[in-house]
Amino acid sequence: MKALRGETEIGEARKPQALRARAPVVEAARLPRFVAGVDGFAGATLRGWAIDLGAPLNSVTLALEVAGERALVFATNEHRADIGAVLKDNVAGFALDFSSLPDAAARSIVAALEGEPRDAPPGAHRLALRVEADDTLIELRNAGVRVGDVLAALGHGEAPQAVPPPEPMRKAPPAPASGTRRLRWLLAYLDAEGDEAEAPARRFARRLAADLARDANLSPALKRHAAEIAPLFDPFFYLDRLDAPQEATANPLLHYLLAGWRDGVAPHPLFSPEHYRRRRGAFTGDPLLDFLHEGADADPHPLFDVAFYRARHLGEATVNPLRHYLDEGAPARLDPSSLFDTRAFLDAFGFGDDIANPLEHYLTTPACFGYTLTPGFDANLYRHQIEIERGERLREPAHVHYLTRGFLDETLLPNLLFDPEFYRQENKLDLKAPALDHYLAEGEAAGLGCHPLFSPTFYNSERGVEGSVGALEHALAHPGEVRSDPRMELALDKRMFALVRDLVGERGVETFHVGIYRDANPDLAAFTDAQLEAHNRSRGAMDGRLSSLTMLMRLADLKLRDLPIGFVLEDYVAIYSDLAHLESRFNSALYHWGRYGRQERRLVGRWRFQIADLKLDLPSAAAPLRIAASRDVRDVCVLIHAYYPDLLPELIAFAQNFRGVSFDIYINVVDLAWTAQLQATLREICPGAFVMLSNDLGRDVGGFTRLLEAIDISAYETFAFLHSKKSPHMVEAEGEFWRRDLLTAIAGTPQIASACVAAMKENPKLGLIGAKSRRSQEIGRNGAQYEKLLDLFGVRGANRDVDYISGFMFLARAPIVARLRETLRHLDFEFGGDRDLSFHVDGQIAHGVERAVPALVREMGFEILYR
Amino acid sequence: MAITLILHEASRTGAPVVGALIARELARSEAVRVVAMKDGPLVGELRDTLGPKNVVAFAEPAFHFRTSFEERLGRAGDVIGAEPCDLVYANSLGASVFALAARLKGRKVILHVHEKAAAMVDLLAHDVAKVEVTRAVDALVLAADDLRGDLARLFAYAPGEIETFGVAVDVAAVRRAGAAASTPPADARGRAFTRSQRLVVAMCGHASLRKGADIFLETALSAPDADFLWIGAWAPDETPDNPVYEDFLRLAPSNLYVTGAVDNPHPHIATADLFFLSSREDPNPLVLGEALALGKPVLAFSRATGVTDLIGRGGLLCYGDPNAEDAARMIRACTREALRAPSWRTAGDEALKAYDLDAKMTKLRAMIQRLRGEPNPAPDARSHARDDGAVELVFS
Repeated sequence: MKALRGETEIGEARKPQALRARAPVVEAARLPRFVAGVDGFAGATLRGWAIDLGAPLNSVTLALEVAGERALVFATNEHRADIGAVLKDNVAGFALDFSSLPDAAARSIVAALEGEPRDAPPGAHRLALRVEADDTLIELRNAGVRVGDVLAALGHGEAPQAVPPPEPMRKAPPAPASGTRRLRWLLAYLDAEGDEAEAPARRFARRLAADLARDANLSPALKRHAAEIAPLFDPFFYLDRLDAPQEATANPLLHYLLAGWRDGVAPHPLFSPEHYRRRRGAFTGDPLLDFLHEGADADPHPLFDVAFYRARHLGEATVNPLRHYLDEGAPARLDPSSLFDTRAFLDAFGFGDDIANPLEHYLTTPACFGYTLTPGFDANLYRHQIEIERGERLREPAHVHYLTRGFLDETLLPNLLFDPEFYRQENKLDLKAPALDHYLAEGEAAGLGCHPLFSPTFYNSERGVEGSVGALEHALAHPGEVRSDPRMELALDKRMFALVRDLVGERGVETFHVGIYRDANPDLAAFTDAQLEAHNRSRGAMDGRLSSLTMLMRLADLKLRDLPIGFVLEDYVAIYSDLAHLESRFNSALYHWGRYGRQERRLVGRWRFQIADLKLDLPSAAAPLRIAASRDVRDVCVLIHAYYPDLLPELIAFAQNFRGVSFDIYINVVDLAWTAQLQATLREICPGAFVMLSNDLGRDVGGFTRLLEAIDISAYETFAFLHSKKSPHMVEAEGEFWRRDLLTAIAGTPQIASACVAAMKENPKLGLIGAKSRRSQEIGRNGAQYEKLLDLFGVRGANRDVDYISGFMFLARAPIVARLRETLRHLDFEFGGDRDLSFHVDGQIAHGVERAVPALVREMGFEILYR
Repeated sequence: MAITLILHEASRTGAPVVGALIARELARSEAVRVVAMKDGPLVGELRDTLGPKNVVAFAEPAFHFRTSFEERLGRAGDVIGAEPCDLVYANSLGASVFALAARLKGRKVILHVHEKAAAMVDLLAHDVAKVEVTRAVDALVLAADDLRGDLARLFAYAPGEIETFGVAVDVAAVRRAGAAASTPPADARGRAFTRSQRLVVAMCGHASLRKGADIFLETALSAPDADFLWIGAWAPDETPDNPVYEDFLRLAPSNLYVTGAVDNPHPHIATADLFFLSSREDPNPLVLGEALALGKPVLAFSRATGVTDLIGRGGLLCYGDPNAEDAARMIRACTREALRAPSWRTAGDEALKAYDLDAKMTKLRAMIQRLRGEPNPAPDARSHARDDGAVELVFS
């Protein structure tokens, strides 16, 4: 960057002497609002610049004073390319052409300077340039402007020979990078005092504290507070963290003392109030002060591990570890924690001695924000979620954001294969630390699943590695190579990982993606890549054709976490015959799913038909399910209705999961499907069960009703309703999944079955338990039946709202079943044996009953548990 | 304790056979006298078991319903008073006139109810039983659990002492009887039944609407690939209540054979592959237990009996009222091979435990034990003729 010449520190405002005397400390304590400088004369034109630190992009009004009188008022209005590096859209420059000054002004200048030594700078009492707003003086002398230069510009003689400006003024400022760091640069550059070797922030903070110490209006306690925290207060960083930094520019330290710590604003890159509070526990007041007084054993930052640092670097020394690190540790390249490997960081970027504090550099340099500390964290993916999807500015490394606060939001994914909410819920964890940390520290070794489709143990076994350690890292590095879930026939599709990678690479900009365009436009199959791009420019963009992943996500209203990583294109187009045209078009099929399939609850792969951990222990003649000896009152009465007798073994297998409690089984078989051999088999696999045959009246509801006629309801506490649901109007596998989904919720395993029964016992208000995944509010063609049934049940008010378990499989308490029986036994159910499929799909009495049962439960004062 | 057990008849059918078994078992520890209100084949057996002095049988007119109730009541009282008697065990609602008479005489009374609701109504309508009877007895023994509901609806009162006895079967005796020789049944044209590879379906009882003779005939017509045996009275001279005798002769189905009234039905049941209880109402038919004892799968309808649970777990249970259409469909879906699967037999044997006599007698003896002690106080009951001529009994 080109050096600016003639910058002037203008902390001293030009005020009447009396006023200065009255409030000198206050004035001195104020930081300058304006910075300005003069480059010097080029011909007759005086060039310079001025910036309002409170509104850096605004024009600044300047005044040219001659002999104490304003001769000319003008404003900065030129873009300065050199300042543009720090203030892109600035209008900080001015060019004052003395040859075209108003005559009066020109004459007064000449009059004021006539007789003055031509090689000397003009005295401010004769010619001064000021900021109009506060009269701050812009020293012309600093730019080497001499009386002769001015007069020559006004056409009075030659300019004297040029001399270079003073050396200190020629020093190039550090390169700023962003937002408030521009202010930092400006402010640091202004600080000409102090130790050059000392970090500007430290110098600045010390100066701020000194200013406060001189302020008579401040209490001694506040001054002490300021003095104590100043060594760990980084005003530049602090300003960068403020939403309205201009409010604090007067004295950032004072702002922190009065407001900042209360608002939880970080005072230093290595001090995170949020993290400190979590680690420290209960305390009051400024966390930074507490840290310096009492809390030196609590970690001030996720990447500064006090215990680690003490043990590794301090031994018995009692020094504050963070201060030690700032003063000595960082220059000595000591590691601040096990997470931050200093050498690895420096090597990754090729940094050398020019980096004073590696950790601080990592935390404050946007170019390093993508650097990840553990292989399980995908910084780009995370950053996409924050910056693109949420539109928030990431002011720290993505990984640090996650470790500090992002982990509290379980919708943020640290990588594509780690779902924090799933990890916590599935493994029943009470997490205090980031979920990914927990997983890497202990969860993976314990084989805990971290995503619905990623089991580390299974993944490792598939790649021939014992145990579960290293699975996630390998999977992220080699996406789609090995199966990660036993339900899936193949590994996760590599195309999904590639899509995410490309999407993140687009950085939220809808840039043309030839792969997407080709995939989305089969009518252009014969086009070359170049032709496709040209087509998009000339036609496609106007037509709104899909041309980028960002566009795909926008149109399908998808977020990263919505992406079904288990999407199997081949299954998706095979299951749904209307999607055959999407064969081999991964992106378009995914787009279809996002835009339509998701709402239509279409399944993304056949694996969805497999229920995790469902291990059906099918009964056999050799290992039958025997009904336990009779007791007065049993826990569960299992009712099974079998329209499809081939499913009886499966249903009995689910019923078997009630073996942890006392139970009985009643089976109704639709007589059209009955054979003597079936009966023999039933007796073999489930001896002692009650078996009855009946007509196909009223579907499953009718079958249950007929069974209930034969049962002493008072002999059981709970009834389990199971039936051979196949849903032939659907894809066969989808129907199977629906059935198993319903059954798994109440009897998927012995543990689930026992837990449900226990829930009924423990909560007498609990009346019904069913599958959360099948909860529905769709009334379909059953409105009339539904209303009629609710009238029969005597259901009133809000209890009449439609909210039911789609599929009529659940656990219900005995009084509810008794009430149901009393009503249902009088219904004239339809005969379905000779009707076609459309008759069975919807609109029968049974469908009305299906919807009405939960309403009855609510009306009876019972609760419903959807699980 | 001197016990007088009353049989409403002495046929070899359900309730009398159960009563005879109970009498035989009680006689092991008590002084038991049996009174048969109507003579029949069981009387001889009972005399052999209990001794001729301890079995009294009346000719039919003595307690016929056309005889006035008051007369029957007085006659019953005379019978009770003729011999020492501490407890009267009326073995069916049909014998309940003895229960009332015994109560009037201050005896302890147990009433064993075999009848389902329709039969109860029938007996009440014919003045064979009185609604006051449940108030007059000290204990009830039920042939099936679901009779409690029927009693509650029709009699509105039940004593505290109630046991479900069910039906007891002397399995060994039945199997011995089943092995005996028998005369083959014949069809409408007189052709004798011969065993073939065809499925054989049997039913046993006096042909009547209640026993579902019409259903049985219709089922036979609807399942021509199977042979059907009706074991028991069929012709009008044996049972005037057969509603389909004329149809039987007219249609002359080639697959329906009848034995006529037989003393020993068991060899014929043993011939069958499937026992089909066609009864419209049969609370706890003994013959089901006997069929199970002979290893035969049983088919019944849920609304016909009070033992649906037993059949649901050990036989083949169809929902609803008995009907030929469903029965024929089931029978057509059966094969001899499938019905011979061990699991059918295993389930049947398990169900047979419900007929275990020892267990039932243990409960019955315990009940009798609880009734021992002082005789009932002088009855605060009176009988008098109402204006309409009926006898009214009042028990406080």
